[in-house]
Amino acid sequence: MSEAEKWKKRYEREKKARLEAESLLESKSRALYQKKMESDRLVLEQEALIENRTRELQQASDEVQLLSDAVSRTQNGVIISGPDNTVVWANEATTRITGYCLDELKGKVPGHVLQGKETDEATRTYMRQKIQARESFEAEVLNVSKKGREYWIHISATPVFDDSGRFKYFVAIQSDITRERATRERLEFEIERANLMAERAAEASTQKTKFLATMSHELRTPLNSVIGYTQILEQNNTLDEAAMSQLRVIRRSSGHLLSLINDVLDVAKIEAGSHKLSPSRFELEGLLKSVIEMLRSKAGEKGLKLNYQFIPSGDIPEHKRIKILADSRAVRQVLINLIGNSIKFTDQGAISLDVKMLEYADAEAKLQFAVTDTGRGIPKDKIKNLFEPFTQVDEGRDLVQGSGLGLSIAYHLVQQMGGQLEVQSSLTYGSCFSFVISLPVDWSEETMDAELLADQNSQARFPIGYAGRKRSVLIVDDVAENQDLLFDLLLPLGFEIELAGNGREALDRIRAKTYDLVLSDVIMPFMNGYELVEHLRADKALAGTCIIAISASLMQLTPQEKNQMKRFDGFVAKPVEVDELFGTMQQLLQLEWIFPATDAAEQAADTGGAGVAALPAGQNLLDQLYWWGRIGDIKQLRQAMPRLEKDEPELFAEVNALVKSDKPQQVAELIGKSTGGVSNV
Amino acid sequence: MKGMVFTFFLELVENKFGLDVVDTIIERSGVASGGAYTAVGTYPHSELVDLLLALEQEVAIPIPALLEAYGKFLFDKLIGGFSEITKDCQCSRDLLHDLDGVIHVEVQKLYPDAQLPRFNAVDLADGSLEMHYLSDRHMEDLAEGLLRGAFAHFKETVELTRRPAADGAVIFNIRYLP
Repeated sequence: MSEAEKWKKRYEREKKARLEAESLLESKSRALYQKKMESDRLVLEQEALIENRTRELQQASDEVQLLSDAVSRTQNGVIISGPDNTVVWANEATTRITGYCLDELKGKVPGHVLQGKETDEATRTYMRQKIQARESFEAEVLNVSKKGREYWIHISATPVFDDSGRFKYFVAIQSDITRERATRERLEFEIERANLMAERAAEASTQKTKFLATMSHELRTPLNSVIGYTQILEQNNTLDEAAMSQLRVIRRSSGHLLSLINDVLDVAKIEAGSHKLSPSRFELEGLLKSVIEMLRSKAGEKGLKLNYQFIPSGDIPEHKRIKILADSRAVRQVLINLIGNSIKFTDQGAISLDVKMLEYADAEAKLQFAVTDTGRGIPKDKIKNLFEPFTQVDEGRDLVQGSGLGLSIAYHLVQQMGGQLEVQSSLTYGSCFSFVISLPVDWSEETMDAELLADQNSQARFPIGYAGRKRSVLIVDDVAENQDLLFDLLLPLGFEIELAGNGREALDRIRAKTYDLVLSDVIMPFMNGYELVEHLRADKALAGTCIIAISASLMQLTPQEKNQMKRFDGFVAKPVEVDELFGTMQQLLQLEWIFPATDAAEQAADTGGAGVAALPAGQNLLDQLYWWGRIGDIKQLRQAMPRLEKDEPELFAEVNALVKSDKPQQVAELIGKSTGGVSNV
Repeated sequence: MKGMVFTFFLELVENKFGLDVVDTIIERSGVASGGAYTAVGTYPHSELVDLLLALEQEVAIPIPALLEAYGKFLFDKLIGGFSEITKDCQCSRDLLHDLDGVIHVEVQKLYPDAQLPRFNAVDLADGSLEMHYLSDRHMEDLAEGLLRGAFAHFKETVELTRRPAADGAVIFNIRYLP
């Protein structure tokens, strides 16, 4: 072989080896690349796994930290006890509360260490039972600290079970409630004390009310007689002017006394909170008119003008009789007190009562009442206490008479009605008292109601008899003076009168005999007025008996009593206002009262000297004598004496004696007693 | 067998006997690879045997002697090329102890498909070292050559003997002389 050929062969050999090496290198590189890729992927996978795992661990760690913090730092004590009921772990708060550190508690039963001999046995037993039963429980326990201090804790214990339901441990949370318990006990004690005091106060209030009721009755009874007899005497024509004038003084004084008593009792009642409003529907203008009329003469005595003005809302048709729903006695009292007060403090000028309807909608109106005077005015420093009881402006010589209660009563009544009594005053111009109240309002065409009718007629004349047949009256009262008063009042008018001392006596009499009218007091022994009327109504035969109650004013009755009062046919307040009694009797018995003529000359002209114009013709002599006796016509009586001597010789002696001594009323009484009044026509 | 065994062999043949002899033995042996060996390749171990046979015939030197000579030559080459792996070995004893456990493990990492012989070095009580050589190629002569190469490299004087073992292994006994 040539050199060249040898070398070519060698070259070929080398080349082949080289190519093979390159190919191996390539495949090795590829393999390496694959491996690297795989390796990278694995690395990423691992990293992701690690990240996840780390996060999970972190979360778990955070949770553990959280729980650990919670349990460690909480103010409440946490004790964990294991299956043998001994302490496995307790937190710092436990040490703080109990005084024992963890080492002193570990391995011991909590109750044994923490409780003392004062700990309630029942509670202990309860807890032991629950622990044994592995049930959760709550309890309040008295424990003893390491230092021997007693304290109360509230335990809330819960058992913890593993996944297979096996008991692992109890977790008990304790909070120190020593202070709460002390507070609770203190609170209970205070509540008991408050209740006791409230009871006592209620007791005292009841006593006060009872006292008021008794005093009211006690004070009114004698006053009843005074006023009643004064009224009767005032009708006696035989008295001379001096006596009449004296009677008027007595009448005024007793009236004043009555109002003072009423004021005192009212204010006491208002302050005790026992005054209640009883609204009724009445005509407003009627009340205003009657109040003005009542006080006109008082104002006139000082030369003062007294006027009223009522301005209804423009929404109401004109000229209607406007009615309001309110306690008329309260409204009347307020206005009387305010106007009366103004009269007292005004020496010249005028007093005006202005009532204005400020708003009107949906059958309700805002009414503004204002009493304005041109009086002395009230100094600014006195205004503050003006409405307090017993405050009196002006000390010394200028002292104005009064109980000092009027404004206070008015103030409270206005407040009770939902308003606020205000005053504006200047020492130069005078004062203005005003208040605004909201009341239901409507109007009607009806005439004014009976009550005001009675008021209007308060100045009316005293009747001297009645038309028709003789009526019988049973007077029931346990107080002799009250019986006498009514007897003296009614007998001369021609009523047949019988008396009973109490309800039971009255009932017996009514069963035995029918009376046209029963006038009954309410408070009586053995059987009171309410019981009497109940018995009457219950008995079919007696149910129709006409019975009027004579009692303390309606304002002073309890709602229960007011209800019972409805069983009566009528009601007259004590002290008895005779015209009220006569008005009620007129209504119930359909009586036609006979009044004396006001002018003697008129009398004479009308009847031609025959006597009373109302006397029906054909009356017998005794009737005539009776009438003349009643009206005090001595002349006629004297003229009739000869006839009497002829017709009724038995009576003549006595009657003549009376006529001679100028006592016509007594003649009438005598004749009335003997004949039982005017005979039937 | 790893290519580098062949390339080093041919290098030695080239150095000692020239390229013509290289050509000849390749030609005469008729090896399938055609003698185109690359160090990083893998070729059948039988080709080395064939080449050795051809060389014995060509240069009239018995195979054991050829292998021993090759072993020495190979050792120097290996120790130079794998200096990283063997740098901690201060003497042949260290190297031989590390051979199976450390050196060949590292070699296996580099050449996963390398079929390396198993060596087991045992220090005897008398201070001599026994090397158990186990290989299915039975290259004991090459192994001896490598050992002698090692001794020469570390400048050691030894007494080397060998004997066959029951399981087909060969046991070399190395007595180190001062």
